[in-house]
Amino acid sequence: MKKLILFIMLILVTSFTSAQQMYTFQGCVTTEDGRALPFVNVFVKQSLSGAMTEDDGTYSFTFKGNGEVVLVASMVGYERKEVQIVLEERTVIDMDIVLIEKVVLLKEAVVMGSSFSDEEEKGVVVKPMDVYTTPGGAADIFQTLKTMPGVTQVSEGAELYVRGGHPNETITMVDGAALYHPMTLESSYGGIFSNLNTGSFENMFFSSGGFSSKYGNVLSGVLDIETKNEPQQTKFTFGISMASTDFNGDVEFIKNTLGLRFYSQKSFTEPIMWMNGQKDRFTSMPTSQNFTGILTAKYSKTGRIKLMGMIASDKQGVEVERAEYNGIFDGKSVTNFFNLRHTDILSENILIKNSLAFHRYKNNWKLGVLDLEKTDDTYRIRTDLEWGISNELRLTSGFEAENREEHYLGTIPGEDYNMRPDAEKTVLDDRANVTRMGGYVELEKLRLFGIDNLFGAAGVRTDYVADISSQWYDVRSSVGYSFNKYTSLRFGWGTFHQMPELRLYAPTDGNPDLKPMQAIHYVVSFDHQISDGHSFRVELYHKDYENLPREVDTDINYDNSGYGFATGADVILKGRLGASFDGWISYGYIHTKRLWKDYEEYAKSDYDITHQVSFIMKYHISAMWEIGMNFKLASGRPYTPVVGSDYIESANVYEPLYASENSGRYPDYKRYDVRLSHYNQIFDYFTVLYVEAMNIFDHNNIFGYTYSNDYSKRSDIRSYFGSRTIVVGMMMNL
Amino acid sequence: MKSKWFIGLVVSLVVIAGLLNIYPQSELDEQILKTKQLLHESFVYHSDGKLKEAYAIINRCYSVDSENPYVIYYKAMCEYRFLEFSLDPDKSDLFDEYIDLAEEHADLLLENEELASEANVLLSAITIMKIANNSTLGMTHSGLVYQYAEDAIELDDKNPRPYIFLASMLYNTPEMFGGDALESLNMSQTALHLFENHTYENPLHPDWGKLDVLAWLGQAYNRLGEIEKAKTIYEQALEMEPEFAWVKYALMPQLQQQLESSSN
Repeated sequence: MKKLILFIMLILVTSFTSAQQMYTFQGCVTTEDGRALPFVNVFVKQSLSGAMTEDDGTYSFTFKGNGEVVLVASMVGYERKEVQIVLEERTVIDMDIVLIEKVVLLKEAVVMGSSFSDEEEKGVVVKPMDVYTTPGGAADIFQTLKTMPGVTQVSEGAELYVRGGHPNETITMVDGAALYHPMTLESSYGGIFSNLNTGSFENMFFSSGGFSSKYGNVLSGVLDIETKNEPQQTKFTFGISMASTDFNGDVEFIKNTLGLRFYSQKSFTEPIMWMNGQKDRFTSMPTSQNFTGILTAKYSKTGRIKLMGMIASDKQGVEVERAEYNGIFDGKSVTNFFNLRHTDILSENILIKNSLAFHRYKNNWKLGVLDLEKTDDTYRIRTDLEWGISNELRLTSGFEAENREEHYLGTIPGEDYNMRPDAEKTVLDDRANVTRMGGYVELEKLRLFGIDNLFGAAGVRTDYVADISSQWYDVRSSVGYSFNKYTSLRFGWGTFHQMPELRLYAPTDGNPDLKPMQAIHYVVSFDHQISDGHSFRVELYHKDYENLPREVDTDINYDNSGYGFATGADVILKGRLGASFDGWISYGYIHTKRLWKDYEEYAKSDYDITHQVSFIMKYHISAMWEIGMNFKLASGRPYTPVVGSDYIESANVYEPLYASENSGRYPDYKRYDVRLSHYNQIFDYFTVLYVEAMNIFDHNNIFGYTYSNDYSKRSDIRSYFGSRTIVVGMMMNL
Repeated sequence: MKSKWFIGLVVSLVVIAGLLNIYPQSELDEQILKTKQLLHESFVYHSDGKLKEAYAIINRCYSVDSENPYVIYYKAMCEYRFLEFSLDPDKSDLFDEYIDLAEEHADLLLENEELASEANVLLSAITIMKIANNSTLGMTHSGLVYQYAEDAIELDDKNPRPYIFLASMLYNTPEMFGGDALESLNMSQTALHLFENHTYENPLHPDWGKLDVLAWLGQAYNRLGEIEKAKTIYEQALEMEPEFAWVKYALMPQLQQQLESSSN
């Protein structure tokens, strides 16, 4: 029996081994241009047989097997190459291999240009640390973006005036959901800071024009933020300054699976106003509070669900001097924002992102006869799919549906020159409700038309609003050429549509049939990365506006006969100087005109800030000390001067008579901010102590004029930081 | 009758093994051990060529068995070593090429009972490389380095490698932010003690790090003014590996220079 077993085993073993023959694989691996490639891993797939190429690109190894095999050549930075080989009688297999350099699929921002991001491959880099350390920026994303070219210094508020566009023409998106009111302390002059905590950002992307067709119902700019995923450790930070206090935390519930990040802030401006001698202006000191929580569950290796909630409120009471009336402006607002975000990878190359969001903003403004409550509710659902078809081709597509309702309740003055409590008034109880649905598809391609270094993108989107029976299409495209890894030139073109602000759809004083506004963007962009961390960009752009809402003296109140344009150039140089200096210098030129809203004639727009220079420099004195400087210089904002007045006897008030639309210009804007930071260890906790001086030379920046009763004399209204302001604070990592 | 069953069983096993084309585990292990050796040599000689060779072999192993924890570990280890090379001024591109891969593969081992502690060590080391690549991350990521190292110790209190990175962090962090040369020295000594008193039976198990420890220990002594002790430690390292590049070409000459300038 033993003999039988041995016999059978011998036969089996012989049959297996006899079928397997020893082969020698040899050859040379080169690049497309014939250059020998050393260190390439050449091996038979699913076997341990292989070798690394020598300095001259040659390889040689033996393999024992039979049938068909796959020879693999792989090296970081090159396309993996697989060759199918049938093993026959010939035992020496000569196989030369050519590897193609891998081209990483560029992201849409690279293709489209005009963007700033925290990711190097997306162009000029703006990192959260830049936001934290920009002097005078109060660690606020909007204030930092205002130092970038293309965002004009129209006011000191946080609103983004992008290349001649109104702040409403720039959208802020958080994890795929639109946040229409991201500001605190909004007034008719705009908000001062954002409600978004920079510490919560994982990625941010800002585009000032020519952006992807995935962004709809927006004319001028996009700020797209992705929040951080689940925390990897539990930690807390505490900060306090003369203007605010905050307490933030990362709490890890289940390692790499479930965690919460929260950010809470309360601002109390009394100490800073007291110290800087501005307390008397306020009857109720501007205060705000904000709590943001982000609960993230990672349910699989690739899938995540994230629930974000933000609750914020603010109030302020400030003395206002007007020609006809001195009173107190009382403003308060509440913002609620909830977003359920889901992301996952569906198959090897398809990424899905879903978002379901609710956003409510409610404010109340009171000044004399003005007593208006505004409620703005938005429900929104959105899905995006990104499909990396190959390393050279990517398809992006998505769908969104949004219902937005604005409700105005209260009284507004009948004439804007009379705000007295007993003035003529209009009672409002208006609702504007609009449901919009949109979809888009976009293709990005490298090696366009088979030409190396040529890349492009083309997208189309459509939006439909049943309430105004309107459907529109946007076509956007761009093409670029990379001269080398560091230098590229791009051209972008596209149409953009956006519905006018909902207030203009109100039946009482608006027009429910207004059509969307339209802009056509043309952008030429030249990027050059001088070296690691140093980048230079110059862009030329032109925008044509059509269908802008324009006030008309008929029953329909507004029509779409407005139009305009914006032409300009933006330049930025960002980088380091030695080991100690870093920062950026930016310059923006713009010429823009509009005929819209209540403009009497085609004139310079309110946002025509002809020249603007920002210079941000940070000097690391030592590991413990850092000093930063922020210098801004901008042309004054256009305004319409008052040239006289008519006395209205029935109301006992003077009506101002104006010169040509925006024919005047406020004085140039200048501001120097300095910040000194000291990094230290207090009670074992990492601590940053800082002192910041804003408008250190006390330059008299103004954002308007107030007039005497009959408009015969005028005096300046100083801007928020029109006086030197000093803030002292600290931040501690607990 | 019994013998027929036995023959049937043997035949079936041989046929199944043949059909599945199963590689003898020893051959895979052999390749892993080869990777391990090349990794060691690459560190000793500061040779990126040897590292590339190690990476090529472990990638072949990965193509055969992508779930083998030791294959994943040494793949992650190679990727981490590439990050170390990215500190060379002309190799900075390596950082972007390998950072995500290293993190991804180290993450895969967090749930593996045998290698979870080592995975935490790697994550601690990778986080240090992130800080080295971008010093502004120091404020936010330092805690993470300690956290991973502490988790590694909690998972295996005989593992000396977490102490290497604790020593490195404590040595490289400015004093004002919690850096402490004496504490760094203590960490290195703890690591050394563990290296000398505990060995892992499985030859595939990571055992690198003793040379690293000696380098950090010598530097800590040097900073504390114990130059002679530092010299002895460096000599000890060179006795173990006479071509240990870090000590032979950087730390020792630096120390000699110090000794010369102090004697002058």
